[in-house]
Amino acid sequence: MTSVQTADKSGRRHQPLLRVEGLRTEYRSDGGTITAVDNVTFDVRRGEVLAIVGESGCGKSATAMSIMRLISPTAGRIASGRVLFDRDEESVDLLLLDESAMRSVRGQHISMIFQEPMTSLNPIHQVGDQVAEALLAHGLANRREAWDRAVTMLGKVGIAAASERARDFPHQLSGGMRQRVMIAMALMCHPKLLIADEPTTALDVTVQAQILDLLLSLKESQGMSVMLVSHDLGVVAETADRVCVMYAGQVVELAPVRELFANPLHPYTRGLLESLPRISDAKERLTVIPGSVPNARRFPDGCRFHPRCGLTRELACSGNRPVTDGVLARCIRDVDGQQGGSPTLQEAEPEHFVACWEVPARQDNQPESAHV
Amino acid sequence: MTRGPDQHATGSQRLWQRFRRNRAGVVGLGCVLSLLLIAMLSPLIAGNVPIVCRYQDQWYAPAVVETVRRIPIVGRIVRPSKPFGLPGFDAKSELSDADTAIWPLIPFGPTETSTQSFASPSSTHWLGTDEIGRDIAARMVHGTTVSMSVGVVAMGIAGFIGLFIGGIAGFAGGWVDAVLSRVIEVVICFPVLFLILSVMVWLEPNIVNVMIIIGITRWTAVARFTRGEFIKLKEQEFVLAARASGAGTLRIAVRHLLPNALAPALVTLTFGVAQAILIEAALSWLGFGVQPPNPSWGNLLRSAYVHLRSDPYMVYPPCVAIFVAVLAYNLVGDALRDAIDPRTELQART
Repeated sequence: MTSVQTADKSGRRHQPLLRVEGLRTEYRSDGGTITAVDNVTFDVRRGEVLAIVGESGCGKSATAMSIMRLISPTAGRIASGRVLFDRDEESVDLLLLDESAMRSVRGQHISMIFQEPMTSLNPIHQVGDQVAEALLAHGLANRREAWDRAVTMLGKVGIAAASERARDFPHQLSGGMRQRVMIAMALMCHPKLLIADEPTTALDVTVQAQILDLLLSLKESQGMSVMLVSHDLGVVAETADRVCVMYAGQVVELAPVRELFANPLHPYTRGLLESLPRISDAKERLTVIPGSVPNARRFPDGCRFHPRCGLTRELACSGNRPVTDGVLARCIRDVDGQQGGSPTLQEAEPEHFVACWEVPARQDNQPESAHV
Repeated sequence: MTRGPDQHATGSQRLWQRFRRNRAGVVGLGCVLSLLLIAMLSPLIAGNVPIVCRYQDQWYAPAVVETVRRIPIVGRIVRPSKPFGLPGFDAKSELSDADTAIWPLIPFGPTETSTQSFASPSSTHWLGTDEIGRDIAARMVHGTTVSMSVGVVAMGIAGFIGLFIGGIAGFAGGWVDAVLSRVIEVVICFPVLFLILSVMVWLEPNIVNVMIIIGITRWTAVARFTRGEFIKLKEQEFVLAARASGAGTLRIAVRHLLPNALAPALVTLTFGVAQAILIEAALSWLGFGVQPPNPSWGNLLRSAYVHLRSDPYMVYPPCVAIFVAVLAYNLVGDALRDAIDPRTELQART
């Protein structure tokens, strides 16, 4: 693996477009701080779709917002970590940029689309104006040019009669159309990375497929990378190249999409996949992961998944391992009996990383830490 | 739903569709527009110079010129049509019957005196004359100009200050909001009429100062509504989307928040115009507003009040005018508020 520090011109092509390292984001709440994103490390390669999946509240949206630095200072802060982004052939840490430099990154180099196309458009402006705004905000065009290019872009995202529709107001468009407008808005400046935060969750199933197809074809034609935040494994299986599974603010598994679906290593990922309904299955009830996502105010000690983990219970019952409270002691405490931290992400198979103590790390050519 | 708002109408069209359903509001709007029209065209309705005339083989339009000249700033480029309007030039006696002339509906100037004092309403003087023989109808028409311009200009000033301060407070939040909110509360606590009275002691009592003083004391309601709107709006997802596409703070505040906050501010300002009209009338009544011989509803009421016992007919016109104007603005404000409130539509459907 090429690491960022040693990259030279020739190695640049293999260097990831975006590398998130040890990202930690805290939110303020009445009961103290909540660590929504805890030591998250992953990268997004050129031209790939990286999906980030997890249940609600696992920190996937907070991760996306942290990368864009859109977390309002009154709500929370990015406590530590690095977000290295390859901006114009030069690697910069987005977390160290001043606000005006960050503003020029937003929309121009990294764009974002949101879950709710209903509320993501300003109700009082014509959609053409809103699409054109990205160019105007970065001073890349005058009003006329910006409008013309907005109309072209609206055509590219599959809006028929774009020059007329551009004069429509958001309430005159359907949900799918609005999401297309949002995509047009995000792609106006040809960003290298598009962060799509649950882009299809609020849409009808038929429209969902259209929007995903559109995203994929635009990804190809514009040569960009996509970071897709989703809780929908069906969407992920269809679109992603690699998948990053998050649980309770941490990355628990990261693997190419086929590998992940064929050979899930983390008990949580397995649980997620088993809970998917299958047509071939005659079972009346869906398999569920017992319990619910832990309260972010107080995550469990040790592995954060252990209270819900089937594997640790199963192994505890076998009787030949130290057990505490019905689960493996290892899942709660460190080897030396200290109150445990959570397991770190380790490469278990080539390109397949997992954070579980029960999954042995790959022995040969092991990277120094959770580097991808 | 034949009367439901059309899904394909723009925001302002939908607003009008909803506004139209409120009959009292439509009547109020009619009154307001009529009053504004009278205010703008008062020299064409009442005056002692003709609208158009032929005098000494030349065509003149003195009342039209006067109407144009009253428009602030731009009106100054039009020169007065001499000899009309020059002191000592009496158009009525100069123009003989042979000359062609179209006179205003009420052919008396607002400050034109006559020998007929305390004339009761008649076909010549529709609303009678006052103690020095001035036509009350003409004075009422020109008083409308004063009331309307005070109302609109004062609320324009108030709206500007209110949107600015409320917008900053709501958008910035934190200590800026805390400080500005306290400032707003302090200004609310002033008894406005007394504050204005004490300030007017130092200022020359004229219409411009009345506008300014009302404007800089009556902005608090707009500021509070705007602050609330900004606090609500800045959490909206479209603001986040705008930030994500690289929009800066100023662009977000001006392009995304402000236009969305205008409608509630407009409602408050409409009610404010009614208030301003009342304050102006009160000030003129007390002698701190528009100074005689210039007419205003307030000082007309004052002179009527002096002669209330002997000539009560003088008191009705200004009373009715103030009542109608205040009521009309309040009706419009009410209807506008209901039209903006999305819940109104739900109530109408269920």
